[in-house]
Amino acid sequence: MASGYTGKVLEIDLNRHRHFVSDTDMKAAEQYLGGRGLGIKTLWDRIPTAGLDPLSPENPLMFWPGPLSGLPLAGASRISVVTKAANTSPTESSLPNASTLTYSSIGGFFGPALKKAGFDGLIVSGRSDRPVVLIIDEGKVSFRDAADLWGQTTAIAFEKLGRELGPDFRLLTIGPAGENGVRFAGILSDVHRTTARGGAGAVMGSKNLKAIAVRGTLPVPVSNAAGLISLRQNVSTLLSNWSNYAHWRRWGATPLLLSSDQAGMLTTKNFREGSWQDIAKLAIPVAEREFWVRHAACANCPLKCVKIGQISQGPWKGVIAEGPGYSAGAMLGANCGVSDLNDLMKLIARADDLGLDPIAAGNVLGFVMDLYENNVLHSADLEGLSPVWGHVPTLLALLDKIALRQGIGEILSLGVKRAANAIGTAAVPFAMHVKGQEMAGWNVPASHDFALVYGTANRGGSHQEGASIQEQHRRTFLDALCVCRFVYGAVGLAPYQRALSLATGWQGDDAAMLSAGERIWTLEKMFNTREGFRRIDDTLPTRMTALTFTTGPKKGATFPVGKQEALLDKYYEDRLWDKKTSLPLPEKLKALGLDKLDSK
Amino acid sequence: MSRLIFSRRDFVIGAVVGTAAGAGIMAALLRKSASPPSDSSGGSVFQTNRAARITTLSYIAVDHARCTGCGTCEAECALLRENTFDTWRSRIRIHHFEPSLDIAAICSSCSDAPCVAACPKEAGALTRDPLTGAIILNEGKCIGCRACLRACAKDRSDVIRMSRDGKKALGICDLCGGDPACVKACPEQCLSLVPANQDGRNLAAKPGDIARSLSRSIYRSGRNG
Repeated sequence: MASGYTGKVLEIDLNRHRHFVSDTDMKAAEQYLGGRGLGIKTLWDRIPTAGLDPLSPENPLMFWPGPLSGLPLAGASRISVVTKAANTSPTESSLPNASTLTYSSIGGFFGPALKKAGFDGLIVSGRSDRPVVLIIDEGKVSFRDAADLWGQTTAIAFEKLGRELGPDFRLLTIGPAGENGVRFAGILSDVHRTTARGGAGAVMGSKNLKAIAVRGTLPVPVSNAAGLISLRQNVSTLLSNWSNYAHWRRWGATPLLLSSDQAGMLTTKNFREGSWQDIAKLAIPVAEREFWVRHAACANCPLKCVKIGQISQGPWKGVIAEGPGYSAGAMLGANCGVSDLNDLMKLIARADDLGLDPIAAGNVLGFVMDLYENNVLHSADLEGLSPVWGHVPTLLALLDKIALRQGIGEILSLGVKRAANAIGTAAVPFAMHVKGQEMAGWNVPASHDFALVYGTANRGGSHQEGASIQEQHRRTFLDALCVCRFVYGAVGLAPYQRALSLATGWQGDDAAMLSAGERIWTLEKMFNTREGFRRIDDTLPTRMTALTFTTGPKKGATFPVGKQEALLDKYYEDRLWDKKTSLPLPEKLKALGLDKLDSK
Repeated sequence: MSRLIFSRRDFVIGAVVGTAAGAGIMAALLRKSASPPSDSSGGSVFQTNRAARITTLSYIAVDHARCTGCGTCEAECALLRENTFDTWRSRIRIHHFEPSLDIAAICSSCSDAPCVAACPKEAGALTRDPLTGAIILNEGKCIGCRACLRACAKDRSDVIRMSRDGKKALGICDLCGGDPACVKACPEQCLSLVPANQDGRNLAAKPGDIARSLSRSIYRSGRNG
């Protein structure tokens, strides 16, 4: 057993309700580290051909902590959920189920707990013949019948399981959306965190797996404990010296709603504007004054970004929710034309309860309201609903329909790309996605770099991957270590490179780090190209180039037609990828040691 | 488990009073102690801040309303007191409840110490530190009979548990000899050392009971009303 790793991976076969423990592939761990890295390596190995139905029993649903997980280090609290995505699809493919991978991650405590239960990874495959909860109590694995939880909201599942198992278990659960195969369903952790992007919740639901509980208290072996103890102190000092430390602790990511509005980077009314007149009503100080009741943190982190609040008046008095964080605030707030904080928090709470990706949910709702405003959809198509901007009772009804796949919800549950195709050609221009992944809460016309982020992210229209090749590799490395991007933003990457050395004995330098990031990124790309994704799938919806902002500080901003192609040309060239197809060139694959993988 | 040891009102008052007094004490300590924080390389905290030690009976009070659940205290206790990353050995433990609350559970150094009373005479593993008032577990003498664990679970905070091999009791806080590592490390400053002229037993409650009563004061508007 190498230090930094437990050396064990827990595999669950839901077909037979069996489990077994395999050895961590340490050769792969040297190359791919953990988290998102070991995730794609294992996905590549286990899905040998293109076109596997992501909702089939054969699609492995995998949870990968990293080599720093379980160590008392601020920032190392995340876990990557890697599987074949449920919502993405290439422009052209003869395979109806072709899709990208997804690598969604969450902070909190589940990742550290899984690692401290003794596992470098958890791989769930098969399909249970009945709804179950998987319970991992350190080495002991059991299944609990979930008939009583199936169909229940995530809040009820957390409450019931929490009461039953006690406060030392950390939980993941899906809601009705995941159970019903909604393509943008997420998995929630410790109530208010969602592994959102890519429909991992639908994959979990397709396996009849309602929830996972884990208790872990075992220490993780490390190669240099004294060094890590002193590094822990250094990280804590670096964090407290961070210029944003005090206000980040106080307000978390919520103020980004205001700065993004100023920069014209908000997504307002299905991306048509970059600022929102009512954003101040949704952000600080209103949220702090009227809504928040406590701050919560991820493992070992003083930043306490999690802002939990309770609606204190009006029709939704008593509702408890988290945020608004940036993404949910932008997508369920500005993008839906919402003007009231309690309305927004109720929407977020409902999306959480139903187990939906709040980003995609806001995108889909914006899409519906846009179609309604433009007379593509009418009340008759919507069971009598009239979705006008910001009318929250209607939006709540739509979210319910989506989660239960009733009426128009059946079509909308497919995500904007498939829904637009089902509704008809008039709807297609309104679908704001890349590769079928709903675009997130950062707009493009005033910040063209985001075109590259959305376009080239290997899970489709995601905002998190970075706008330069180097940055993409740095963040991929971070994801392989399961380190938080906020903490990275505060203290940089060096402490985590050092932590990796101290934990595992890893001897790499900056170049080795970037090369690990590139290897992971490129293998993800290879997975996608095998599924049929090409250059055309790296472009934004054409509507983005037709937009001109009409209000706000960036009034007049546009995203010119040729800009995206120029960005992509340079990107592929710098990456040594074929400019026409976007496929990595053989010499690049060889340099990364990926040239021999194809045969497997 | 359902029994509330004190009412919500008592609890809130207790917590508030505890914090205020604790802040005063800490300020006094900080004035007294010009020495830098103890070295973080895992050495014993007994080497430092001797002058800053409390000289009356005391205990650590938790302002539960401010706790974010980050677990810094757990890690710090294990690292500084046990020189390990194994937080199972921590003398302070975080428990997570829904609706979202994190409760730090720690020994209250109860004046009447039912754990000490329960410890078999022939073992004599539990004694009180005359300097700090903390209850000291002599692991060498512990026979693993669980009498203290049962006493604490029945009447007080339920903070005592067994080592992994089931042979020794764990979780009894010795206040680091008067200069507790967790108090210094908490980023929220929600831990404070309190003189025991307010008996710690008044704050001794099971994490679940604390969560229940705190929940009513934090989530004031009722559950999903």
